[in-house]
Amino acid sequence: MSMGPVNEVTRLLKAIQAGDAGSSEALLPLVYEELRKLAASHMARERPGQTLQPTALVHEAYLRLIGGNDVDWNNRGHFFGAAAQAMRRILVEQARRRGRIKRGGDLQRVPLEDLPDGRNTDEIDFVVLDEALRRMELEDERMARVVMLRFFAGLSVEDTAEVMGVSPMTVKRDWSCAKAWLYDELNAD
Amino acid sequence: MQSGSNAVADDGLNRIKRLFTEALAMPPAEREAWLRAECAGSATLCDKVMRMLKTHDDDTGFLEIPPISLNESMAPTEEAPESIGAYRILHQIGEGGMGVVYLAEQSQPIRRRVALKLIKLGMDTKSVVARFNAERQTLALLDHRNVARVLEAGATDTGRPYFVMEYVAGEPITRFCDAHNLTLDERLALFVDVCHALQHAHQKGIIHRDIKPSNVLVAREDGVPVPKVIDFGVAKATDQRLTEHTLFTEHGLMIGTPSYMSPEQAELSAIGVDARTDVYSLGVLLYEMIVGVLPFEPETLRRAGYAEIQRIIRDVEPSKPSTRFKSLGADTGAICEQRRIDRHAMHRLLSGDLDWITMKAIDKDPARRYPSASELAADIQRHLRDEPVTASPPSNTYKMRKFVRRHRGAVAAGALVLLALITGVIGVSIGWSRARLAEHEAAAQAVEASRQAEIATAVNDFLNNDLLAAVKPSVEKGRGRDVLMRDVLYAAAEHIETAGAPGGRFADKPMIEAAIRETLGVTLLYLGDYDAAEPHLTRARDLTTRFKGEESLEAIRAIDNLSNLYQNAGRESEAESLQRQALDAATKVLGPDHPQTLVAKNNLATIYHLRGRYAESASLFSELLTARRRILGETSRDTINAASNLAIACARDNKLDQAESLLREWLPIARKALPDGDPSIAYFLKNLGETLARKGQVPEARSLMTEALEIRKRVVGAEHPDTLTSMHDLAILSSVEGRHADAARLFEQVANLRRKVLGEAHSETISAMSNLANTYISLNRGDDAERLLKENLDIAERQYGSDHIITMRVMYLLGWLYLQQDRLDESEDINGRLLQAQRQLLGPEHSQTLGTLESVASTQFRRKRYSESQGNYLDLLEILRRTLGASNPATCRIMENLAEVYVAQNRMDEARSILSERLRIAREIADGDAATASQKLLCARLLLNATPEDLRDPQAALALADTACGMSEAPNAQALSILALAQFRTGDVTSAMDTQRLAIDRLDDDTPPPLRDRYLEQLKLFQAPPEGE
Repeated sequence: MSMGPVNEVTRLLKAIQAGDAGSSEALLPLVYEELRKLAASHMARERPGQTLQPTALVHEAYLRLIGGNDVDWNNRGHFFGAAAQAMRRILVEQARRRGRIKRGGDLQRVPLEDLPDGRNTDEIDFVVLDEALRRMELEDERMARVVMLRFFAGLSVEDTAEVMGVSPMTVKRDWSCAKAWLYDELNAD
Repeated sequence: MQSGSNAVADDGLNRIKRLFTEALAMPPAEREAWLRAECAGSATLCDKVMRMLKTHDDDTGFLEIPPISLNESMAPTEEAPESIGAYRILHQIGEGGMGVVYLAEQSQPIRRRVALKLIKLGMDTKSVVARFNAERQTLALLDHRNVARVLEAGATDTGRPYFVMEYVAGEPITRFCDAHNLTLDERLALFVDVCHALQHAHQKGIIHRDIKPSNVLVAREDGVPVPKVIDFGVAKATDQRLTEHTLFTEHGLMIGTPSYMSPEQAELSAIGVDARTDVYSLGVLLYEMIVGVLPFEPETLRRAGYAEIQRIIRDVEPSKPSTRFKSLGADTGAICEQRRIDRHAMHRLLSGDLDWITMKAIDKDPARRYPSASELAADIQRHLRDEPVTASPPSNTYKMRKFVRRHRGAVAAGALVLLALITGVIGVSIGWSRARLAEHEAAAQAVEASRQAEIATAVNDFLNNDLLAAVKPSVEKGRGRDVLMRDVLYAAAEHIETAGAPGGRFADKPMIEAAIRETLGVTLLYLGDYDAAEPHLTRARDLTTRFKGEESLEAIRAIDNLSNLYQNAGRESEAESLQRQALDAATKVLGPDHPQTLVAKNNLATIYHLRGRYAESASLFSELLTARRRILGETSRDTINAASNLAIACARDNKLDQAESLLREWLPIARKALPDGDPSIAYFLKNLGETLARKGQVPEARSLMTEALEIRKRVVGAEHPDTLTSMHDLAILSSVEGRHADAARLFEQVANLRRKVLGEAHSETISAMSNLANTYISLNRGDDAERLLKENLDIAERQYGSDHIITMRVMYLLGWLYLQQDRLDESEDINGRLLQAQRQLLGPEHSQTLGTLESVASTQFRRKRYSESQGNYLDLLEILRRTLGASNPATCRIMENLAEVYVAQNRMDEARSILSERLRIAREIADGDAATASQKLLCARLLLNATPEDLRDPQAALALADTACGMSEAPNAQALSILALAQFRTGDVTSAMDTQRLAIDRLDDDTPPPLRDRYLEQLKLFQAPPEGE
């Protein structure tokens, strides 16, 4: 089972680099499928109610799909782009399944001052986050991409910068603004 | 990215991002004002960005997850095994020189996640495991919040050693600090935790031996970053020493860099590894955390061969953090941004303590390092608390500076002065040399700079060895607070006399002597000892003029200082002529727009102001404002200050409209440009309030002064002297409004707080008490006033002696009270004595002397000693006309009194002559475009009550009073009463009665009965038959 996708993903990444746009579309389902399986097995082990930690999953998916294959930087960027997409979709689906959909009047407003520190992914409503991200994508694609790579693919600032071909300071600035904006979108109206 | 001009496209998230990003780069205090201005018209937008900034600053951890690193862990690796020993391998989380780290899961005895470090092939497994097991029992003793324990060591089936340790979901400390933009202080706080972890281990006898960022991970626990030191016991077990074997792979590639390795570890013998070895590595880590780079360029080490690396670690002295930082030149943008600091501040912060602490930690000789991690931590904590650190070189300057900073509050004035004394010289020299550099060739620059440096060094040396040596013993005994700055300075002053004399140390170094004289002189000047300061500043002026020329920068500065001294010492005409000389020279040498020229201009304008030449002062301030606005822009603090000064000069010059419009124009600019709560904003509010109060616009004045008070309460606290001054202003405003009861309440508060904060004998306390007494007089509470004044007089006499200006002011008020109460004997006695003392001490033309002379003349008038009274009034009039001008209110009041004295003596021609002059002035003022309501009312009152009666003009008075009352929405009782009298005198009795009734209505509840009676009497007068007038 493990040899199939690994070679396929590596092949696709190389095809993307060679300029085959179709391979990019083919990559996502593969990565998604791998992440979904991983997520399912993680969820089976975690205590009920726990939300997935994207970093660990993507990390694991990477090892499984690319592993020791020689893939250069540019291609890794494609992989993480796809992984972030997949992760986002998985988290939204998971949230929907759990019936954590809170929208409109049900959305609880939390005064900023009362928020506990150190929020983790458990407390994020991924359905609302997904919607906010969509709005962000329409207006500032680069900033949205930073969120995808930083949060959904778990990349560091430096790695995100390298994948996107921008400076780390740019990523940092976008990331700061994106977090604050999303937080506000999720917590204010 | 997005241009601000494109209003349509620039309205959504892009605009938010631009605003957020720009605001984030500003000091937090300035953000809101800036945003409000930027988002004019959209409060929603502004609020949103403010919320975002708060979210950002609160660092909620939202969306933050420990990232993975592509470089380290994503490198192609060997396939992860399914399980190792009892641990199920989940995935790889890192890879280092020694091997691979996996996230693994343990199911027995408890289910938990662990980190498993699998050592690469090639190590002697048996001895690794044996060494680890030998230390295992001690390792089990580790129990510290900042230590991740190593749980187990073992060997795989294939014979590879592994270590199992607590899993820490964190990032290497350096990366964490940079990713979260931690400030230097925040970094130091984290670092202190790391030291404590090491100290804990050292106390158990465990040396880490491999402290580096990847072994110090920062995880968030309940949102708080907690550093965890990992890998205890691993280095020792794997016997990591700097050998060719451990440093390079079999392919000759270097594994990592030995950047953190101590000199003793670099020795193959490996003897002498102890706690101080970890201290060294901690020092390198500290270096990297604060400076952003390692002491030695890793590239250099990477390129060097094995022997060369050893040599560097053993022998090459690294640069101090501040030097290293500076050497990075232009590459420091990101480093500064990651520390939320600018380049200069960063360099300043690194210089000093942090340089010394770091260098002491990474000393080549273990014996000169901190003996333990906890002492390193303690020194950093001392630094954070502004206490002297042990790592300091043996310098008094340094200790003194620390002392001064620590006791900032306690010895405020003296400490600040001394701080200026120590740091100021260099700053000033450099500042001035910079001004000069612009005009010189590059070669001359270098010479000048080194000459300035030489002077600075010599001055500092003098301060260290001569001046501060005297302070040292007290500071070391912890008696810092008792040190009398003055004593130190006087001692230094004697030293300089010897050193500057022929044959002395500075006999042939006039510029060094001048620099030291300047420092001492300016310090003494700040301490208020003008006599002691004068010879130094004079000598500095003479030396610089003689050796550098009258138009040299040094001479200009020396002249400016001397002028400052004269200004403070009240020798204003000398100050003026010197300041003009400084301004002319600066204009000629530096050009009219040079900052120093503008400073000289500002100082000259200030002197004019002090001399009461407000028009000249205003014209200079106006030039200054124009220049600064052009050069610095209107949001510069200097420009705003110039505007503020100009407005004050206009107000003093009685150009109230001009002052008002200036203040109204600049208040919003100041609000926008300066941080929220900046003291300058409070000054603008206060000055605008005062201006409006003088124009009779009391309600707005009150609200502005109240806002000033609120700002001060908020920013400097409810008991700060400035806050109390604001309360005092409001009290005076109430008093001006005739709301004496309110005024009394406020004065009481101010007096009590000042007594508490400043002490009962402080001049401002006495001033508030005196004003309170004065208010009591208005409230007809003569007894309270007398008691208070006598009490104050006691305090003032005890504290200042009876010949002091503060004491004399209290005496003056007491005399005034006696006069009000018709206690003429007592009035005559006290005023007589006072006048004599004042004439002698303050001079015959001092304003206080003149006040007493007026009381004396008034007492004589009441005693019907008309010729004596007349003589005194004539003297007064002559002086006031000459010094304040004929139209000054005080001059005018004396004219009125003098007319009365003539009338009493039936010298009607003389009375008519002086009173018609008085009336002419009053009409001129009242008819002017800028006339205030009270000026019109005053004129109306004079026109109604003039004696001889042929000078009266009721029609003109009616017109004036009518206009004056129309200027205010709710004219006060006094204004209405004047209008009523004018109506009555012009035959409109019905209106007069209505108006007078309204006036009585408007009387304050606290109006003293005698005053109320006067209003009622006037109403009765109107009601009486017309012929009874």
